[in-house]
Amino acid sequence: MNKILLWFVAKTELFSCNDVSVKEIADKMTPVREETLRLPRSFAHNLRIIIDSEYELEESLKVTETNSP
Amino acid sequence: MFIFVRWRVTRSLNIKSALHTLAHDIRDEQNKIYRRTLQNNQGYPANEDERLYEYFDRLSNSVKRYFDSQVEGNVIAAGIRLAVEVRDSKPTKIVYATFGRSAGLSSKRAETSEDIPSYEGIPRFLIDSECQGILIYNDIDKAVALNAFKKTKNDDLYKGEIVTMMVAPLNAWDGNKTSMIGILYVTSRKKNTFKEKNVDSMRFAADIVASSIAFTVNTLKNEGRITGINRRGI
Repeated sequence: MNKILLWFVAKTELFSCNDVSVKEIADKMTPVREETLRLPRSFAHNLRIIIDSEYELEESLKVTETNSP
Repeated sequence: MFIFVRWRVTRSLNIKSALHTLAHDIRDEQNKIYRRTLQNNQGYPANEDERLYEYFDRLSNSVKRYFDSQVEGNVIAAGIRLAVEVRDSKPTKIVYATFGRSAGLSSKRAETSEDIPSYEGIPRFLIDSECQGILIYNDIDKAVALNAFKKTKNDDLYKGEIVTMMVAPLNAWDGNKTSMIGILYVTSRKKNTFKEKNVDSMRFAADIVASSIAFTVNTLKNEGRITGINRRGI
């Protein structure tokens, strides 16, 4: 058991509670276009974030004003 | 013999107490949001994004405490990455960015934190696998060598902080459907910390944390409390 294992325990049709080694997982990692992935677009849109180096909080990103004291 | 039984009972009570803390905090946060809605958000601060970060740190700390109670030594830490849209990216890009860190992970990590694109590393693999399952990394360096883990700057800067880790998808309502809104990391400073017996605890933690985050973010968005979020530590 000296080899390093990455245990994958899952209940999916692909892996029914199997343990899969790192190598097997790595073999599955073929290049893919982002649009083919099932992504949480709606959720991610709620948390739009400024990633670039400018970090300017633009008007559209400002938190809604409230009647804070 | 009696000492062992006593130790086991104490351990069991600590685990239950940590579980209660996790559920308690989530319930309180939801109540706070309901109360605000009732009061039309009056009297509440405008910097909702900073408060969100604090909540995600609290969630991370509760998860840390839960696993601390299961593992010997104070070696556990927890972190939360969430799916965020990179503004103005064309085509729109989604990355998984760190939003919550527990004690045990340097707060300075925020300054050098890197986002992981949805099509790389752990996010990609989990999405490919129907967003199910728990990953346990026993040796990160070898996982990197096999291209099963994408190292970030912080992995090199804070090497001793994460020696092994357990990773779970955060699956919840994203506004339109159920999908992987984030990733939960439970890390250890010690080798061979996590076993299969920890997997169900991880599943539980991931489910309750995902549900809470989805409720919080979606509700605040619907209430007009957040229209975006500023990057922390910048």
